[in-house]
Amino acid sequence: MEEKNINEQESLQIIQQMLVQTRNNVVKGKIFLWVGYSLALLFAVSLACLLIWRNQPMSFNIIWWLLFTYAVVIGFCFRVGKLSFGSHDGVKTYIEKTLHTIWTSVYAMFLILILTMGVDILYGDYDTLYLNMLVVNCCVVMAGIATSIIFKSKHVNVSTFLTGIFFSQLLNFGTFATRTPWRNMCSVLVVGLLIIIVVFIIQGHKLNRVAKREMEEQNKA
Amino acid sequence: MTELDPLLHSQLRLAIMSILVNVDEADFVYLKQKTEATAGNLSIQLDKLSAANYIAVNKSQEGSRPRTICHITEEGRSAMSQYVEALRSYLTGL
Repeated sequence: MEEKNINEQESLQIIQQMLVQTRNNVVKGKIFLWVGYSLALLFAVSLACLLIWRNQPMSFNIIWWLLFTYAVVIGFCFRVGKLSFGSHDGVKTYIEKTLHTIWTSVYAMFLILILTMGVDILYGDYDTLYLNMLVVNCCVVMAGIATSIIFKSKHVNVSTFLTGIFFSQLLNFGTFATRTPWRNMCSVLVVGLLIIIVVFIIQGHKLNRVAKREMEEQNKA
Repeated sequence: MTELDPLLHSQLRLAIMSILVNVDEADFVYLKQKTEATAGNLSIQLDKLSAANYIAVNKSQEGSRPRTICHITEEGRSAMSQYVEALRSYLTGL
């Protein structure tokens, strides 16, 4: 390809040709919706178990271990998914950018939560439950970092951290707001559901809308 | 009828912008491969687009290799959108 002036028909051909070449990189919200709705279901089931049995430690263990397993499985699926999206080494797609933001938010959130629990263990009432949380959260943070490394994401922006801090504070508030253990867990799960809706479900629908609009524009052109 | 942006109305620059409008960022090697342009020519066109503030070019070092990453700016996105609109009106007028 050279630097030369072209006519309108040629312009259109070039745009179409480049669009076709990068079509695989066009944002897709489908994966977000899969993750979002399945995670929301996981949280809703845990919430229902908690409301029925009112057994906080059991529900707590169910949700955290399921989440950890889920993080590993989803991390792997994203890796495979990335290959099927046809991404190239030298290009960063919108989906990769958003996934990176989500994962950074997730592990920023857990990092702050771990710090909060660490302070509580050192200066508050010692509780083995918090110790368990510490271990499980460490695993989740490591899963998040590992996924980030897979996606070669090196940049951490301010908005990502602010999002993480905001949600972690919401989560902390939910944990310590009430005195009854099973109610604490309920509020954590509700906040978790809120996070999933904001981060995955709304984001997924938004991405789908953008992709649909782009495809319509492409078809019109 | 809206006039076609002369900066975009060139084969290689239009190809670069069409790629960048679809991705968050792309590096020099990727653009070179997709446009099948020579390194020298591509570099000149990237400088022109960057000077017009249509794209942002970040040069970094990855190990011992230099890496040039480009991404479209809001100004570039808007120019591209106007260009496509103008193109559409030209073609429908034919």
